[in-house]
Amino acid sequence: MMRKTFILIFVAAMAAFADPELASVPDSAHGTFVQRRTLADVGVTLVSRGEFRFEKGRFFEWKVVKPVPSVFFATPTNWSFTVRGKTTSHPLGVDVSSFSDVFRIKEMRENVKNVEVSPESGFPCKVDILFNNGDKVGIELVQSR
Amino acid sequence: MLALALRVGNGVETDMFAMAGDSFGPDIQAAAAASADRARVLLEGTGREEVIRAAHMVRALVGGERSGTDLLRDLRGCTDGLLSPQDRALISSNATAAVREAAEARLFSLAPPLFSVKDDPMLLASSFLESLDGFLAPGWSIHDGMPVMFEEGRASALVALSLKGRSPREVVEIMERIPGELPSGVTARFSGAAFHAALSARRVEREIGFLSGASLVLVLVLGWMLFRSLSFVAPLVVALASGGIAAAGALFAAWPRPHAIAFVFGTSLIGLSVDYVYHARAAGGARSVLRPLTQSFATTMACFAPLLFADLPVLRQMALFTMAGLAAVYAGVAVFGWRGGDTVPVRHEESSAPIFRSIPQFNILRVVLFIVTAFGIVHLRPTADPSAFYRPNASLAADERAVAERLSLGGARIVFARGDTLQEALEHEEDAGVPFGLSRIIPSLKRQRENAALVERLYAAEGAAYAEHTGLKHPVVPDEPRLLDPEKLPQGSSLGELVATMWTGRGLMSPCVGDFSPKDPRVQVIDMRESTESAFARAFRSTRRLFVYSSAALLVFLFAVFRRRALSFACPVAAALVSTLGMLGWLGVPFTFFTLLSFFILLGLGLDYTIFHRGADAPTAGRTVLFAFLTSLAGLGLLSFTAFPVTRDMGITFAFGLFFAYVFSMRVVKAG
Repeated sequence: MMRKTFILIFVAAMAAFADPELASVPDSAHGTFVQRRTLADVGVTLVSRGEFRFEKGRFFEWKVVKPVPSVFFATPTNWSFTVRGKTTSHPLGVDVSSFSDVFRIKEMRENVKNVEVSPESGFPCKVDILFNNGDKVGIELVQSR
Repeated sequence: MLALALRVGNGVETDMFAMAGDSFGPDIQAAAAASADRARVLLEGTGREEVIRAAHMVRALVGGERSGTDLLRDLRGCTDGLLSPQDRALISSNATAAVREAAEARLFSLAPPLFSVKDDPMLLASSFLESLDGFLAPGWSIHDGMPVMFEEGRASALVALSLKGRSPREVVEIMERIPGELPSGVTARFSGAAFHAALSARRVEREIGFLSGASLVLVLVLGWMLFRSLSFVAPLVVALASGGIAAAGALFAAWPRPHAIAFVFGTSLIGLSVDYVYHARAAGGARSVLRPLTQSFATTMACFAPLLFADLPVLRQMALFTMAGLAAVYAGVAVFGWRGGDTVPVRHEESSAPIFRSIPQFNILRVVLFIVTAFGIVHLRPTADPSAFYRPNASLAADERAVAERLSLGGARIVFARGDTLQEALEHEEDAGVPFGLSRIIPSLKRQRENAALVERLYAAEGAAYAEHTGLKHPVVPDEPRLLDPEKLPQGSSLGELVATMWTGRGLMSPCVGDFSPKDPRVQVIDMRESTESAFARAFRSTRRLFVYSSAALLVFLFAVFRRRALSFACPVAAALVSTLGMLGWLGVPFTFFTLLSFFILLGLGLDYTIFHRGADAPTAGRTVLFAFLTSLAGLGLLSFTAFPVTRDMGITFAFGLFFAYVFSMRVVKAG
């Protein structure tokens, strides 16, 4: 189950960065993010800040710095989650070679109602994900030069 | 007939383990019975999506589709007692801060919680589900309610099936249909008792159908050659039918579900019925052959009577079936065949058949035959190895090996946690630390209550900090923790299916991986292959002992009836049995529990030939015995051509046994 949710987040992120329809698709990127998660059933929004790194087809790293440090690291075959030096790893097995592949993956369709990617200057700076259970995740990305 | 009519609907037992009765022990029988209609299909391919799609196709083909969210749905609302082993250990050792920090990190990370934070404030149930990775076997986890494994370049999914209520034909159709409907690049491997049983049943059905037809034709041809008319058919059919009905009725009256093997061995009735009918009709009526007929009947009854006291239920069933059937045939022939019959045309020059003419070398030939064949006993191979009486389809055997390797299964070993109830068995698993038991996925209610108490301790220690850091309410445990009860799972749920595959009614089975050795006496590791072998070895020894008793009873009877001539009746049969054993040795036929059972039938039939050769005064007795022998050979010997090792070896035993019994029982008189 954890795998399923990480898969969909991972591929959404990979898709956001790997969209061939964008004017300029970065093969790698790094920067900072602000993530706002709204839990619909309790009406609470959780805000986290951190850094991301991405290399197309190789890895994706999502490092939360505040308020609670953690690192999510994924490759096409494995993902790991590290909290306070303790890491759990699991196989992933995702085949995503293009943006369009993302929407063929069942997990996306099952749990995610909508994904909006707003590119500016050829880089997706805003990602909004609406889950079927009403939860929302809004991500603002700032690419480092 | 009433018993037959009332109980035949119950069907017959076909489980091999049921055949050996208590030799297997109730735990193994329960495990075997639970596995009987279970099967698995292992799907493999390079593409993860294709494999998952194939798995859904297989499920839909067999028993309806189930949604991938089933597991979450099964757990939703009853997660208060679910704790991962890591969280349980941390809370128990008062390291509650670590649990809180992990939950907070998860909430602020990219991944959403799997359950509503209203039900699972500190994401403990989410953590529990994630800890199920590898629950089935190392490297395996759950996806869409089924075990899956994803490695670099290979994806695997295991679909567990219940084939209860499906006929063997339907199961074989499923096996043949699945490969053709798989997505490109995905292969299927079949594993489980239900597939083996279906393939064996189909093979046996085809063979028996053909052999029955061939046997029937031969019986008609041989009977016509003896009587030069087909008027023997009606009384023979009546005798067989009445014998069969009486035999089956007696069996069903005594056992609600007798074993199928009792009916198979009861085909000896066919040989005995043919003997009685042929002799009565050939002699112009039962009156003319009443004495040898009665002697034959009495000796056969004496031969089978000790089996009524056997430990093994299947031997008692065999004895009752044969004795009841034979009594009906004897009564029918003796009463209704009192007068009249076809008589066997006798050509003058044949007199009482050429076989009764003196052949000076004949006795010498018989002695040489006996000595040569008897020497084969030194090569005789008594065995209880299951491979001697069951050889799986080669493709299925390869699939089983592949599945066992993928699941890292320890051969034929399983872990069995005994319990009068499912909850008791779960507790025993937990106490013994069974690594891949059901309790890893569904903890016992007792464990869940302990977990709920630990969660309460966690909330008390960390609740305030958690609320401050996340903005959520201070978590509280409900007054009545909502626990996961496997006996209240909805029909058709994936967890419910999993429970059904592991709970036998007497305990829980789970794969034994590695060298797991439980210290708890309520949990044991069972090697199914070893257990099968030792159970059949015990059954063999017990049956061998009974054979000695039967032979002794027969000898006593022979002395009582024939007095000084008793040995002249016993020796030909004894020689035939020894020669048959020798031939099994020469041919390398394994001497198993099943071939030993054949000797009981040979004892009865063999003595018939001697009694009618020596006891019948009719000039045509010799010819009648010859055709009775050929007819029995046609019926029982054709089993030698089946592919199923049990029936094939029985057929070989019958073929040689009948031949030697006939040859050694022939009476030689001087010519002239």
